[in-house]
Amino acid sequence: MVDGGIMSKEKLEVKNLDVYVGKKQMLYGISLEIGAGEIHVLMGPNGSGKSTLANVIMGLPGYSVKGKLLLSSKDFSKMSITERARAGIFLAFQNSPEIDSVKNANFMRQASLSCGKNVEASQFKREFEEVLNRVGLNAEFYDRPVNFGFSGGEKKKNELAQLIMLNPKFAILDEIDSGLDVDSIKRAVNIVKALAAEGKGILLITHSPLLLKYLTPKRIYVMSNGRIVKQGGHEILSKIEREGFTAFDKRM
Amino acid sequence: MLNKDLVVEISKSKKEPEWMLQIRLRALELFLKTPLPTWQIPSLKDLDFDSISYFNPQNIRATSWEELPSDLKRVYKKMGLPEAEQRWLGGTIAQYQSEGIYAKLKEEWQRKGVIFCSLDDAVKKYPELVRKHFANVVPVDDNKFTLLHYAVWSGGSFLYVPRGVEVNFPMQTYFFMKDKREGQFEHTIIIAEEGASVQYIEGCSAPVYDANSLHSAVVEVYAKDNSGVRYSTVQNWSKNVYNLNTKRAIIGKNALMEWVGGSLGAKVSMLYPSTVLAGEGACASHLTITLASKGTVKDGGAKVIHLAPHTRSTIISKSICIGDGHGVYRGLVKIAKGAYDSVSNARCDSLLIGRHAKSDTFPYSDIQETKGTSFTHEASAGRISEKQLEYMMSRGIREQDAMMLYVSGFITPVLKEIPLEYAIELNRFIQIEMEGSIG
Amino acid sequence: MRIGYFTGKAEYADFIGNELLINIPRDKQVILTLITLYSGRIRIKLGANSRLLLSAIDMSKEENHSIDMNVDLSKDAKCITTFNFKGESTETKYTFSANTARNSHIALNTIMGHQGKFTGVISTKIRSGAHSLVNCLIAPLSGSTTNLNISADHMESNSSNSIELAGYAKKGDRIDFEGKIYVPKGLKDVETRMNGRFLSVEGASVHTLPILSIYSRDVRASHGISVANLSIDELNYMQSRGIPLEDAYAIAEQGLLSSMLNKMAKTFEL
Repeated sequence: MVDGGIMSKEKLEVKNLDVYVGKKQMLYGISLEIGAGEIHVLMGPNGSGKSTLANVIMGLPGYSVKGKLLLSSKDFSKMSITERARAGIFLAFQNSPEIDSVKNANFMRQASLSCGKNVEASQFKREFEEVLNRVGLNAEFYDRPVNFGFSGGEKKKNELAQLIMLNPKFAILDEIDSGLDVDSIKRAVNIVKALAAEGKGILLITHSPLLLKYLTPKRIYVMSNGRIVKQGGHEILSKIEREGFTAFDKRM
Repeated sequence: MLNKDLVVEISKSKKEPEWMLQIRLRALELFLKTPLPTWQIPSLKDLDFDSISYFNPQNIRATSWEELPSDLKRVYKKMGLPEAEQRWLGGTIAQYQSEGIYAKLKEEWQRKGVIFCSLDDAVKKYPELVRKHFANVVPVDDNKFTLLHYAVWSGGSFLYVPRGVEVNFPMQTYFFMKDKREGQFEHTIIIAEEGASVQYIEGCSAPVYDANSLHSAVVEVYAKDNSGVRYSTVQNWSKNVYNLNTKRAIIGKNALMEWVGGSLGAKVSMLYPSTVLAGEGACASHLTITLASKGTVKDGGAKVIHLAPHTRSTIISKSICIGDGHGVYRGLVKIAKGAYDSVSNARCDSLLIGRHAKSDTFPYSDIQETKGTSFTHEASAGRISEKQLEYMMSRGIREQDAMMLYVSGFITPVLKEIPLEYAIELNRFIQIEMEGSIG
Repeated sequence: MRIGYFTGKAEYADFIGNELLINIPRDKQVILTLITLYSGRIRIKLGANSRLLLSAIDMSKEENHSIDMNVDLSKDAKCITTFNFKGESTETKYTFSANTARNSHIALNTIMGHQGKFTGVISTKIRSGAHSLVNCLIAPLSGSTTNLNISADHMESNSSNSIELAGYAKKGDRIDFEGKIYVPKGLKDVETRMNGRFLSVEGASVHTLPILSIYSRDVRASHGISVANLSIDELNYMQSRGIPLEDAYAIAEQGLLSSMLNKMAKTFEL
């Protein structure tokens, strides 16, 4: 999975994105750029459009999109969800659906094969078991139906497990900390750091400034009402902690 | 022409004893007087009893590749079956095993006293044994189609396992029906004496062409005290067939009966395997996968009657409806007075894949004995949700593959009980049918 | 004979013959209490965006008693009805039908504490954006017969329905339940379910037939029924903890009753 530390020149770019759901505009002129190995953070109150942006990048249906979506300078806005996944884009869902008739391992195997990772069955089993352990899920999650009956935190861990197994180039993590206790958050953070160190570009969506205590993101974006109202480095965090997100709203 | 002369001719050509001819004649008389049932969902109005050929030891089968319907040819191609086999499937049942293996198995079961031959032969070779067990589990006048059956029945198996004998390889019908397969009006009797156990497999997962459009077979199973019988069947008749069978088992103390079935083909099918738990501690399990493809109606289910205490039953029915296929589940669970401490659990799920697919569920329960008893039934109907599909696709899985993955998982609880060679073909067949209707 | 008595403003309810007519004008919110003593009909019409909370108790002593209730909802209207049958009639017949309009809600809570024979026929028609909720508690006096038929007809897409039953059948009781959920073809976004839990005691008999007819695929439909007595293991366990037999059944009954009453209370939060 790690290839000797040669950082690729890959970039995930969003340029001037306007997104509509029916006639209603949800996102206004969103632009951001995530490079390989970089951690970017997207914050904002509920309803500010963070998940909409994540869903649009993944290609989920139901949105009309204007603007550019580029992966290594190539437009991917016409690609289907499946094609985007195979091209190396991963979304850890905010609310992962439950699929009660498919076992976690079978699902993972099929997904791995679809994304071009063809390893022999017993090796896959070993790998997946290791990964489950790494994210903090015990062995029974190998055979359990996908997300079925999982607690909120367990679903998040399962998303992380999928992320590690599928080895994408860019990962969008939508509220990966919700439902996790302090120890699990620390574990998740370490995984995110390790993945970035391997060369993955990460967009972390959260509305909890706590998570960022342990990370040093390259850039932080604050969203409000469908717009990016502030972006910057670590320095804007302290302002958020003191004044909340509304501090940036007034600037509009 | 369905009349007395035909029935007499059938009996004479088989050289049957007088008592069998009498049963046939009585059945015919009642059949001609009984009207068609009206409670069912599939329409039976196209059935023309007079135009059906009832007696043809050679069968009207396709013997050349050209004769096969084109949709069948397409399916065979996709399943990767060579032309020779295709011709076979369009005609007669062949052997999966070599003569040598067959001979060895035959020697072994004969040594143990197991009788396994065609029922036609058994009537002549073991008349008393057959007479004792014929038409007892399924009486002649059970329904309109058993009346027809008992008048014109032909072919089918007779399997008898003596006391205490455990047969540990499955008994398959093609062991002796090498060239003649008369699917229409087969009568099968399976008898497991006290302490015996046996597994019986029949059918075919790959589509089989049959110009004969009415099938009305009967299966009678006797599982006596402490015995175990597993009856596995997969049918995939061509789309002109009406498959209206009656299958029933009566089981004794601590006996175990398992019905495992895959119903893939036919235009209309009405199948309600039933088990009567007559002895204390008896257990029954009914597992079915039903595929209602385009233009078909699958009216099926299970009937379980608890007559004795400490009995258990489990029903799992998984149905997939493609195109405008219509799946119907009809269940009857009865816990009679005196059957205390009995437990019955039923689970039926319908997956509606086609835009015009339909599903009906009629699970009837009649609980007369409430001391220590418990009955639960759960059912669901609907499609794979968009969210679930999108999720799978966001992991790089193509929509078609995601559907197939879901469907495979959906049928797994039953599929894992179906004999392996059938299961693989069954899975492949469902895949092909689904490909034909998605995208 | 008038059907009974009601409290509340006369401007919204009136008797015509022995028929009670309740008319809630648009945007109004009304609470009414009703006691029914004699047979008759109740016709309820709710204007757009109106609310009605109707609490009814049947205390009839008539031999043969029948109540026919119909609710017609306009757009965005909400109606929550609780009907508690505590009469002493030999035979009671209760028919309830509701017709919803876009985005309206109907909730019916019925408590059947009758004696003798009770026949209930409840049907709801559910339109776009509408939700139908039927909760029934069957806890009659001993030696009774309960015949219940509940059906939910989805007429338009984006409709939802929930039917919940809890029943307690004692010695000599007979419960016959038939339920039907129907979703015709061409509908989307339908969520519908039916659940029945029957706790039965020795000497009772229960028949159930919950029908699910789903002719559209964009639907989430499910149903479940359980008819159970305390198992021999459960009884042994309770007794081994010092709980005598009679109390064991009482505890189970309490559990059934309280969970259903909780569900009913939730309907008031609508």
